[in-house]
Amino acid sequence: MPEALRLALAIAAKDVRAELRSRTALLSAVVFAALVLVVFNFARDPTAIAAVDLAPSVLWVTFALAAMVALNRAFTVERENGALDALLLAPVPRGAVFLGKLLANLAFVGTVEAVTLPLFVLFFNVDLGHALPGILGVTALATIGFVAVGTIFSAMAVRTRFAELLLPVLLLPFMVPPLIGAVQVTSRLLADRPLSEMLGWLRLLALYDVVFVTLCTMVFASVVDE
Amino acid sequence: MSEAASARRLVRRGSAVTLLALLALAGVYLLALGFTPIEARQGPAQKIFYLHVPAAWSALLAFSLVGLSGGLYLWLNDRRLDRFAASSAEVGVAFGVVMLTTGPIWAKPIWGTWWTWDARLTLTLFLFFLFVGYLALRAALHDPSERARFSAVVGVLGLLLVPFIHLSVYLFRTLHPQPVVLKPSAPSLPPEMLRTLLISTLAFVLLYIGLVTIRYGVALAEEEREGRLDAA
Amino acid sequence: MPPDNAGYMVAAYVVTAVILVGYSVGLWRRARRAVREDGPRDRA
Repeated sequence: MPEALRLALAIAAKDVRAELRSRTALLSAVVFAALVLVVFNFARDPTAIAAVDLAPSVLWVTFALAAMVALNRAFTVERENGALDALLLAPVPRGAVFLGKLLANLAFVGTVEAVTLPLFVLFFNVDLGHALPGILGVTALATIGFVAVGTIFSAMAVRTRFAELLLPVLLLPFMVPPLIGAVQVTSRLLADRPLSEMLGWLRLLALYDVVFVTLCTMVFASVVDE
Repeated sequence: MSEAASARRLVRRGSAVTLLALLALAGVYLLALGFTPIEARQGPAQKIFYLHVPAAWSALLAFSLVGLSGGLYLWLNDRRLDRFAASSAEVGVAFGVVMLTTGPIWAKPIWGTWWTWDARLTLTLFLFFLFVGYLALRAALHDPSERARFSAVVGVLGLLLVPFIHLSVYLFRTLHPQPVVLKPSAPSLPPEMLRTLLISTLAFVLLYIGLVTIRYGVALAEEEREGRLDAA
Repeated sequence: MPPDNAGYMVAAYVVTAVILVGYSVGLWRRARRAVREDGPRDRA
């Protein structure tokens, strides 16, 4: 297992390096997320709904859309130069390849989220205060689950002609449980509610992560191997 | 027997079963509209129940079988499982359309609203979307082996998604009780109504079998043609 | 006196018949096309 983990880290590091070299995709994704936030601000009646009431939903819809954009290109890069085929020729366990791609996608989505969060505080005038560690925690918990499913779907979608359309259609139903949980926990964190009120949701999010990361690691071989 | 011949035979048999099922369904219409008493509190609209519930049950049966055969396909690699999954998904989506149109038509006069975000409604809606996506993915892939593997993965993941959607919507509702809608707390059905429901369910399951058989024949014929084109 | 909402009932029954018969006929025609295209070449 440590060997597989080392391979996964090497694959993730390769992807992150490639990303840092070009930076265009990351920059576009960040700008996209910022634009979604701006659009959201105008897509409400400021006299009827206070920005704070809408804040958790806005944050999570923005994260979800940004993740979708990020995942869409996760495997297109591999396809363009046949890099995935080369990677698969190497005697690397498929589970390790999946974990590597998952870590790279998490790094990408995590970066976008890390930039979006301060912008969100700025635009929506939210006082994060001591809710910040909790928000970071629940963001990680929710993101891992749907990025795992998204990673496997994006590997499938690139093999089709309309990947950009197919990935959201397949992935959105899978985003529902993590998204509902994350919004619920975030709004409780912002309202300074006690931990006991979030425990059910946190358990659900953790269970989702465990189930889908495990399952996706197991079935990834069926996606990439003839 | 050649694949083409067995495809023809399947289509013939499936058509016969489908015709029989549609006749049975016409009988259900007669039975439900003419010979089943009108429910006192809900009025005639309650009779939508005899179509909506069997359609929902058959759709859910179809979707579960897609997930199960997907899991079996990843294990056994048998092409028949893939053909069956594709057929079951398509017929399930057709039943899903019946479920999602008759549901709101019933809810409007009884609940006073076309739609509510009740746990069951939400779950079935997302399952429906998932299987529409499943069919879109199949249509977008041309390599048969790739199509079979990818859709099996979506089917298996979908099967596991069900408890999570259910749980999250349930938690969502219990923490935020909705305004009480006029919702009968599952009254025990009088025997005539139960009889109509059961007969209707049988007709729907028969229709499912007939349609899946035809669709399986189509899949077989199409694969056989694809294979021949590849060989040529 | 039950409420008068027969219109909804009729609508639901019509919609269901249209969907189910429509899909069945559509599938049947597709199946006929699929096996017919096979037929002649299969025998040849």
